[in-house]
Amino acid sequence: MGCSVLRGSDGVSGRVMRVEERFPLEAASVPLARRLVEAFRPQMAAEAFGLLRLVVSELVANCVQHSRGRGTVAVEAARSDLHVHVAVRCPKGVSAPQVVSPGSRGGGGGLGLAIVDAVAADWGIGEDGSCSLVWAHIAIGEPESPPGN
Amino acid sequence: MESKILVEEWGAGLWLLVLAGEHDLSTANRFEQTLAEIERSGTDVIMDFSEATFIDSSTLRAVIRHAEKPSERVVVVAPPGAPPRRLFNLVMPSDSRIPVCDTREDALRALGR
Repeated sequence: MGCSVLRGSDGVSGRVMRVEERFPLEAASVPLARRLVEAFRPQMAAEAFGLLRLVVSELVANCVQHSRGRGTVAVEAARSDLHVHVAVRCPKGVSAPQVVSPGSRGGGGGLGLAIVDAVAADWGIGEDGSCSLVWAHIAIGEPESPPGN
Repeated sequence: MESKILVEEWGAGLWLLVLAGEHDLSTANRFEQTLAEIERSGTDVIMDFSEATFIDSSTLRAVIRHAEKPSERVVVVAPPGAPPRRLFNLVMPSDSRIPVCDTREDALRALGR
């Protein structure tokens, strides 16, 4: 269950520009985080929105797997003209995230970030105080119909 | 969306797993337990993702790990254009060990049945 929700619109069209929520560091938070970004569905091409859901899922799962259930994971998504910018913060983990190439095998470890690397316009790993930060930019594409129509 | 896993025994050493709905880290344990249960009979497994609306790397990892076991053969069914198929194509573009088929009939042929 999320701890808090913040939503911001552009004040003109009512279009959601930013969502933010904290979730417990547990597997059940992964589908909840995908639900958080549903607000962007009308604003994105269908395939692009699918990639946004995939990236959010991978980043939150990565936090859950590397942080051993301590604290919360904060998910933030904000749109600009061309992208939805996703940032996921969680307590620094006991093991650093790894990336493997999507085509490689070996049990699939590091596969989540490899998928993010393959589908995001840009992404990166950093730190924000006591938190690990992983961010990604997802291209919005052309929605099938203008928002509000 | 609710996630479901349907298991059917189709014959000697042949199992069908149908994954419907959304599958991610929160459902991965159940999927892996299901695979472990049918692994005892050692076997061919058709994993049908035709009714899956979302999968991520947690599900893919389970598929890959199961296919890496020497006694197991895995064939995936995922319709072209659907999100699971796009993810399989991304992760396993030329992987002959886990064939990705359009239909169950194609999957049976890939297994030589």
